[in-house]
Amino acid sequence: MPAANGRARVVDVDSHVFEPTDVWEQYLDRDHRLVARSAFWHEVDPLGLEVTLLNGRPARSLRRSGVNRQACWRPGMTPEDVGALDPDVAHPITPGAHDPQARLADMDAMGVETALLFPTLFAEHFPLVENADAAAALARAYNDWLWDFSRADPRRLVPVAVLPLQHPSFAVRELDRVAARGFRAAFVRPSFFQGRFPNHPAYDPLWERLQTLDVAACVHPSPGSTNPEWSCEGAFLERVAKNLRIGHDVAEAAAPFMDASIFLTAIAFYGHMERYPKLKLALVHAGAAWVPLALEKAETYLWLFSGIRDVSLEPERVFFHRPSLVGFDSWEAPVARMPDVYEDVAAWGSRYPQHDTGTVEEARATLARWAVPEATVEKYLGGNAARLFGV
Amino acid sequence: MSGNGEARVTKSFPVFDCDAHVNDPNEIWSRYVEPRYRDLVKQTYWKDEHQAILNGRTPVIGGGAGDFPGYNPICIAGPQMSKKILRKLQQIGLTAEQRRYVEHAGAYDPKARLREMDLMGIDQVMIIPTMLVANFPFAENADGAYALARAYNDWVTDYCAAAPDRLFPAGWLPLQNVRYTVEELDRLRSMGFRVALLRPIDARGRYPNYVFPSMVSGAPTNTMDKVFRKLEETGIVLGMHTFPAHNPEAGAAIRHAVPPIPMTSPGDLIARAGEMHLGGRMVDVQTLSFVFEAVAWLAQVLLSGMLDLYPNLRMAIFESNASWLPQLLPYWDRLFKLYANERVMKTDRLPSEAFAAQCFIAFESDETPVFRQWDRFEDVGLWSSDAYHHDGADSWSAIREMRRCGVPEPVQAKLLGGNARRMYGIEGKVFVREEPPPLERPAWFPGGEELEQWAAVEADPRAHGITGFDLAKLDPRILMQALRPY
Repeated sequence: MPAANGRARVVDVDSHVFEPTDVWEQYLDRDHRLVARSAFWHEVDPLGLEVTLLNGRPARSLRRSGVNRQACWRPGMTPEDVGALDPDVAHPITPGAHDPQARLADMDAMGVETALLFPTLFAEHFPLVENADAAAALARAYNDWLWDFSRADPRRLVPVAVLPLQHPSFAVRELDRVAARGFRAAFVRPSFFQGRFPNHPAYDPLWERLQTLDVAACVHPSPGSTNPEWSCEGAFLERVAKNLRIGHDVAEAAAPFMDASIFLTAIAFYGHMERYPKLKLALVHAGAAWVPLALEKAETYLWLFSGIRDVSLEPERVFFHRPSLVGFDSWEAPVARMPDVYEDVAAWGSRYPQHDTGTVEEARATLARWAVPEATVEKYLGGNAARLFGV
Repeated sequence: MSGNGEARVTKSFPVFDCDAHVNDPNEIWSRYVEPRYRDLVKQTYWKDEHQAILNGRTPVIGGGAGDFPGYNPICIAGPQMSKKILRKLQQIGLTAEQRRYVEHAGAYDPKARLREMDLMGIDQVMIIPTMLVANFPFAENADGAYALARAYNDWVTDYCAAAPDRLFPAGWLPLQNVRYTVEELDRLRSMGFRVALLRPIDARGRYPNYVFPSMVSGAPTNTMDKVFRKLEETGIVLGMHTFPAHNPEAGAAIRHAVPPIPMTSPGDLIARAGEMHLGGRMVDVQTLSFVFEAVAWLAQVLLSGMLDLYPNLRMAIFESNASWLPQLLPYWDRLFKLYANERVMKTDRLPSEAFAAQCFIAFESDETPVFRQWDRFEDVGLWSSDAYHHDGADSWSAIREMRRCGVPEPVQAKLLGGNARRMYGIEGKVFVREEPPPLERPAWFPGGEELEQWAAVEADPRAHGITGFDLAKLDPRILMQALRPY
């Protein structure tokens, strides 16, 4: 359906909330507040001091300066504008990160009709929670808050549920609960929990249930700057980069692409895409140009290792012929240059309100530079996402 | 017809293969390690006909035939080989004689290599070691490491002397002690080396980016700054060569759910997405480890502005593919702008500008996205065969794919050799112009319609009713028999 300006409506497959204290104080059921406080808690006190507790200990904050990189962008800002912010001054977070009316106003300003809503703190910290019972309670609280947030305009705000992967049974139960409530997408972070990656056979019932319920699995990495080693790539990157005294985190520069590509490779080796052929799979917040490379590398080494004989040796063919989606960023020229590869799977994402937010205009300019046909542009900016998520 | 059934390719320009390997032969240790250092090197990293030992205590894969079940994957990808053939070879139970037949002697014999280069459409080549890249960074003894580096560099010099206008040696650097690194660079310059290799991993807690005075390196000023400045002074190209992640000394720690040791490579996590370390299904670390090690290195080097400290340093990224570059470089430019006020080193040269000015990147024959975006790689791309490693390929297949993608012939010439020769200051010479016809093979060698039909089933097992195969549940006696090394 076209928008008022005659152009196709834009769907943003990668936008974020920045979780307010309400998630913990208003939405967490009373029976679990105590245990949740020591499992995962985030608040900003009246003095503006940020408290993040994880597994009973203070956790490193994602914020390293006065600029909250996860929620500082507002419509109209350029990268140079963000770069000019004084890091020694505390800047307020973008209101649209937690206020749905402000969010809708920003979406109007951006030309975005519909946006998927992903977590921020629940992406970075929540997968590391050790107490599975607390994780289940926290997931319920977050999902209930996000559901209410999205009720400001259910047609435009699409909530993506978090699942307590700390225990497969709890994850399936929460999936059942949110699906019954109306969620159409679930967040899966490609990171390790106690040595298990989401392709681990213990999670097979979850993948089966996602397929059965027709809930899209949104594989979405987080920088991992605050996480321990062996859980994701971000921690290693931050540690070795310290030698260079760069002055800011660097994990976001590479870790999301790495974590997401491990996931895609792992499910190629484990055969998820074939075992769950109707499962809706969306890879977001990692760019798109790496996808053919990762699939090609998987293909090469599947052929070269004869010890796996029950999965396709051509995962690229499998991926592009099933319900798959790949989020791409406004500046990603490869998606524009190879529309025959991405035409039916690429979907634009803004990263709003993170500091590296890209705009619809920027995406259109990138696509126009390589003369992408308008029909393909419409698929990239909304059509493919609308089809997969049913929005 | 060519070996793969397509029309034979001809070429008019010289091809320079910027990344092809030897299988580090035992004579490096038996003949080239100086006698007075033999005992020390035995306690550092030693290889002979029986085994390879790291730090005098840890048996490691050194590349010998006995290290592998079936064929030796370090010596397998040569003329007219393919991944279909290789997969079939794994399943037909090769005899010792057959295993020797499929091993390409060019991996240690320069004369054999020249014959194989002719068949693979390679005029000139930069020679790079194999298991040295994997194991050497973990060697502890600085003097032993220095002696072994000298031995390797002397050996590869002699190997390449068989054809000085076709075979060019890449030097290996002993990073265990910066003073030795610098000394070896001086020696490499005097010997005419054009590139020296490092692996960007955190072996021994020394990720090779500690350029600032710090106690991290043991002595505050004993830093990589000296190495990078020496590279600038000598004009030797810094070759960052990656490898599949594996800490050979991790031991039982790797079986913990969360290993109680630091990661040494970003590739460490790939294998852990599988359960091979617990006896289950594999996710092959080779898939992405090369890429990850290169990306991790470049991201921080370019975002920090480190190259501004060494404006005359030239750096080549080897064996890490290149398709990711058009995605990540623009993003790094964006981050560079976003962090303008937080970046400690106040520079304003964008990562993409620094890369274009000082870096090159290798790509492989099957990287179609590189060919489709050839304008991005026209002046920085370096073709590599990766021979004789099992994923290696010849230049004919690269030329074919470039032509399919519409890469102009002058650009093909740059990507397939011109850029590498410019980087190294090497004169190009054409020794081979035409792809050979199909090689004569013994009757048992996989090929023809039979291979294609078999491969079709292998490629899509579910379509042929195969929905389960668990290597870990096969009777291990069958595996021992089928995969016994020769």
